[in-house]
Amino acid sequence: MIKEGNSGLIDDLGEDYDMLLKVMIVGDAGVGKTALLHRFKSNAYNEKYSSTVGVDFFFKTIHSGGKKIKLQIWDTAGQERFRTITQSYFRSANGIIIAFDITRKESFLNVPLWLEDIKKYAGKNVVLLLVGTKTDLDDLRSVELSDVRAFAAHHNIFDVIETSAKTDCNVEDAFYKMAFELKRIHGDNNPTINRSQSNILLPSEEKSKSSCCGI
Amino acid sequence: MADDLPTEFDVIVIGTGLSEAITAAALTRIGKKVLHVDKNDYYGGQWAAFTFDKLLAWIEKARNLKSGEKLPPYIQDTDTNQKRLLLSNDVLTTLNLEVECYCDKAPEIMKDDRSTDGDEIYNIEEIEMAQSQRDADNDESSESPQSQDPSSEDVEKTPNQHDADKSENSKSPQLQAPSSGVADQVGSNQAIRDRTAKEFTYQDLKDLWRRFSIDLLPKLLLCRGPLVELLIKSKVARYVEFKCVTKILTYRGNRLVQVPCSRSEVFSTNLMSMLEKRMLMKFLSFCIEYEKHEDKFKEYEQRPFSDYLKSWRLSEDLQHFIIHCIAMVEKNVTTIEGLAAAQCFLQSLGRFGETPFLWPLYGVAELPQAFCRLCAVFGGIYCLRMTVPSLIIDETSNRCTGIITDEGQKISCSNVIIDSSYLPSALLSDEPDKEKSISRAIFITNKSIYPTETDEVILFSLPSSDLSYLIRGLEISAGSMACPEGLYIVHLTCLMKSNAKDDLQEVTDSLFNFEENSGKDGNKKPKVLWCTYFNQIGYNVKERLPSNILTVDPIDSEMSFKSIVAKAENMYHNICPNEEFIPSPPDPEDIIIDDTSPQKNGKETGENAGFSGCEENEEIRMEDNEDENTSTTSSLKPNEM
Repeated sequence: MIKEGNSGLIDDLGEDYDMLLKVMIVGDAGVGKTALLHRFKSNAYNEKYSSTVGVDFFFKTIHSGGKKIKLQIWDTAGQERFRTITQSYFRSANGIIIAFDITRKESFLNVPLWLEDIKKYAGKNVVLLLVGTKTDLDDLRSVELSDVRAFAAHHNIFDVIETSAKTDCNVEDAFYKMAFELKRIHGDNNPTINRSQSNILLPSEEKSKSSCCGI
Repeated sequence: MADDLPTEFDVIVIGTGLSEAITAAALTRIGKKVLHVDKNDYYGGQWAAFTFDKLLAWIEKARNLKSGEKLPPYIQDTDTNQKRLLLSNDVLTTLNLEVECYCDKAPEIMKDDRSTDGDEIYNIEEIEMAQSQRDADNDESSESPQSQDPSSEDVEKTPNQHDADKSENSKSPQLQAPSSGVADQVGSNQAIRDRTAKEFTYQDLKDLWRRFSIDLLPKLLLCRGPLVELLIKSKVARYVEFKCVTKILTYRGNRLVQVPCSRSEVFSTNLMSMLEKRMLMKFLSFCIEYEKHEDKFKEYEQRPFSDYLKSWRLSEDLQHFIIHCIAMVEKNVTTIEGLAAAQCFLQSLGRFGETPFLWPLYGVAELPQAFCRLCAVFGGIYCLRMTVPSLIIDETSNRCTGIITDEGQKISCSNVIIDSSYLPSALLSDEPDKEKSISRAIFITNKSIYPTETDEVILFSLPSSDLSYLIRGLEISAGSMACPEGLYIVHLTCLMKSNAKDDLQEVTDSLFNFEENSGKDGNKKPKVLWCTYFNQIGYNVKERLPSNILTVDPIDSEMSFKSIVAKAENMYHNICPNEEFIPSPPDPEDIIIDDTSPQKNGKETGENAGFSGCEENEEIRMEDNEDENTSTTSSLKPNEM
């Protein structure tokens, strides 16, 4: 639960920050979304392929211009595999990373399908970043960066970056790009906090059932 | 699609309604392999919510669906001792569908003119309409979803954003971003109240399609009900946001009045005399801990609740309040049921707000999706748009051993959970089971039934005029992300009596105005712009199925989620008799991506994060929220009476 402290904001772990931003990742199965997140989160890489299991979301706090920006980064939970991502996944996103594999042209050609879902379900101000993965396999490249840039320019995607989770190339940069753009757009207004205050988040864990009741 | 699927699962779940979703999540949570499928391209089945265009499409489809011939439900596999149970796609779950449109349909013909010249004739109040229309138009165009979005104009400004600039000052923040502050909302509501002349046309509704989220099966969560506890315990709560219902209304005479929900509201209301107030508080104080005073109700336990209330010498009005607005039960329930329902209401007061009910932003349809996400996080595989032609039944053991996909592939499993409307019609009762079926109406109106200064979520509970059944209504507005600014969605629900329109007509007529200037208070009532009536149908399964096929009714006719959660828990324990039901998952940060044994992963983390033993803990996490309500509700102790 998010509480407003005297200075800045304090999350349920008692950690303070200035801005909380929700970033979701989408893209075809197998492009390396989880690997990208895992690299950013723990600076680790796992060679073995498995479809996503057990990854819900994680937090990572970054610093920019004296501000602490807390990113809440959500994975697809494998629901991209048969294009069954729930609508609610998109709804609360401040930023969405659309990932594709530079060695698999099809995963790039499917980006418009993800844009369609984003258009349907995400909010109006959502910031989109297109991320190419697996640059360590440059020999097998089948998507040219210039094509990606041209595509991005036509689809209101603010930037493009190519990454490799394996060699740790540009991974952090990708998330920083997203965070800076969100900060630039939202200025000092924290979009997550500015949502209607009458909205209720249930407590993440109930410590007591014995608190007194109404009458 | 099926080619990519594993060929073996522990449980295959067919249908993504809420109990199926909860059960599926519970199963993967302890490491079961689950395949969860739905024939539709959306989650939830009869629990879905739709944008306006999708609702129209759903209506069209439901209208055109004809129930098929009753074919023999089984075919024998030659050479084996197996037979196949043939599933169906044409069991009618929606009946008596009617659609009525009372707003101007003409502009539809002039659609092309409108997008070019139409803007010029808008007055100031209408600009926000135009605004959202442009947004909607953008959605439909194939590219640049944001390029004309006024709120991103600091990013790039194009000449055709001229109009957007003009409306900068009057546009509603709600329309551009779901994350606007409450103060802004109040401001824009003011603008809407001031607007008198704005007439929405049918085309407006269609253009604003994206801003609707219209539930087929709206229900409210009791703040201390089993679903809220489950959402908290399972941490599924973090996928959903809620609004507290702000007002509960009922009829007194022919006037809508606000039901007092807290001690201070009881004392300030002018609906009852001082004596009545004391009587009411005395009774409610008893309700809170009725179990402790068995002597006071024992004699009436299995007799009608209304008789019991008479024994307390409560006035007619108070009896009505207690039965219809606090216990919210049908008149014929037993005393013990009525007391339990009233107690649940009272216990839920003051936890998150002024009333005991919560409504999810975007609607109840978020809930099955949220549990499906938890299921997916723990490895459940999801396939929408997937029809399952048949189940394989082994005749020797009389057990279901798997399914055959539409591509002819066999996928084996130990258990099947299935929405009963997927079963062949020959196995279902010919007639709907009225206890499992409801009458529904959805109205899009131009005004609140109880206009106030703020954004409201209003529950109303109205007995039919002969008091034979109870009609529940819910009005939601833009603040709940259910519809565009300036419009309201009203849901009516009751147990199915004959057909939806007849069952609800009387209340509908008293609440709304359908034609212009009808009658002398015609203009005081909200005007219906568009509405639909339908019945959501449940059938009985006539024949005994193999014991490892568990069936779920497509809908649930109760207002609460009690039986839904109980059903899910029951199915779960049928499959996993000795396991805890959705143990609290570990923090997402603690979940390790384990390539080799994802199943094991789920199990291990589950044990670490065991939840038992926390119940008696005195630390109260919710204090922050409850403090706000202390003055009105928490101080309502029996001994203060």
